[in-house]
Amino acid sequence: MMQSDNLSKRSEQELMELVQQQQPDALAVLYDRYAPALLGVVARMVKSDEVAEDVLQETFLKAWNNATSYDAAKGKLYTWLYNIARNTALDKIKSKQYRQTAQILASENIVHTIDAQHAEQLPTDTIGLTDVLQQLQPQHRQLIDLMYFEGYTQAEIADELNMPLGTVKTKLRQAVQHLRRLFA
Amino acid sequence: MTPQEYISSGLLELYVLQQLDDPAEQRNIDQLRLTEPLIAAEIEQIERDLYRYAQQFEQQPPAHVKQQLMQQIAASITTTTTNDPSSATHNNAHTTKQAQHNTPVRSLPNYRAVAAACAVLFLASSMVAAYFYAENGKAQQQLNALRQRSDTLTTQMALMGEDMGMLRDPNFRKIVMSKVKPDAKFMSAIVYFNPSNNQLYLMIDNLPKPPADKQYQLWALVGGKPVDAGVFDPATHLIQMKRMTAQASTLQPEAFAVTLEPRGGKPEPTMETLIILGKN
Repeated sequence: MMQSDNLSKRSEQELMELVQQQQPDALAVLYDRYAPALLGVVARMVKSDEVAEDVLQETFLKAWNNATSYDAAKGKLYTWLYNIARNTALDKIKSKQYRQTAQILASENIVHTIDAQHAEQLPTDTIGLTDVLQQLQPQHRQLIDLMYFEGYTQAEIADELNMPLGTVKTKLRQAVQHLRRLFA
Repeated sequence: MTPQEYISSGLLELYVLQQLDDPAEQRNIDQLRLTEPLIAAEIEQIERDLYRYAQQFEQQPPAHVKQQLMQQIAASITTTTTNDPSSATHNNAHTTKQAQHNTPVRSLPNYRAVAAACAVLFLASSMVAAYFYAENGKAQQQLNALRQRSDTLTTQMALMGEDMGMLRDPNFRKIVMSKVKPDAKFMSAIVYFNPSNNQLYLMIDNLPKPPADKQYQLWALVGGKPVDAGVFDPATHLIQMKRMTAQASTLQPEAFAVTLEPRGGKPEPTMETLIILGKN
């Protein structure tokens, strides 16, 4: 049985190799390291703690089952996990069941909405983040919101905002750059 | 575009976020990062910034998420049958409904044994149903259809396997309901109530299919008044009903009832059609 304190000193590449060899302790180290950040990202997209935790669990399960598809030359491990988490969250949001559940729970007077506290809040109303996103121009912030939190494609954003696709592309590129500068 | 132009274009950020609409552009950058050290370095920096961005709103997940994850991983390593109905991703959505406190690995429900038990129960109840339906020619047709659907038994077992996991949650309260009219045809009716999230579930065995214009409706009797808990159709697995408000659940439902209503249900029950009643 591997000691997790020895494991945590290994490089990410080594850890992923161990995961590929079906060593659960290696995945546990990666979970401890990245789960909190991933949960934070996901929770702001799905607005329900229970669903967010489901997504987090599915993300690491997918990482375990698809470990061989991770290529260190193509980018960092966190980015790989982040994209899995984000896509899983978007699948959930777009799933018929999620939308139906939201509708059923919202429309009847006996029941709560899925997460009454979060339902009306913009995902940006979290401590520490509010300032940063508010520093973006409103239009950039809206684009980030649609793309990042709601999973719209650029074509869908163009439709939604009645904007030419070329303009959307240009503005999105500006938006992510600005956002990045705020963190640099 | 020169590397510097790429860096100030915003395209690299979109590349990392997998938001480039154009797959050709993506392949282009895949190549560039191998040949242009400036671009490779910039992409790496973007990835670091992405992580720092997320760290701003880290949230510590509850311990049970990791536990369940590691249990599923352990199970997937030791599983030898390819046809295991309790596959990891299928269970995922439901395992978080289990008890929130720490469960030692030893008391983890053995899904295969449980699924096997459910198969026995399912077969037993269909055999009993066959006995009771023997006089009814129409029901005989239903029974034949049931036999022909034996390949869907695997799906049923999977659903039951998940249900059993949920039912082992010690928070769940079980309210057994009885027939109001002695000649009613169903075998058993149970309401499961989870006081920690006010979720209601219903399990009724062999409830006859109602006429097309009618539907069964569940009611919770709260403070003497019936409250709509949702309409449902006969099913062999646990049916999720409406969730109760915190107020209704604090008052504690005194009883649960099932009536037969016009399809779609009604805001008030038709008490003459009361089929099942169970006191809390």
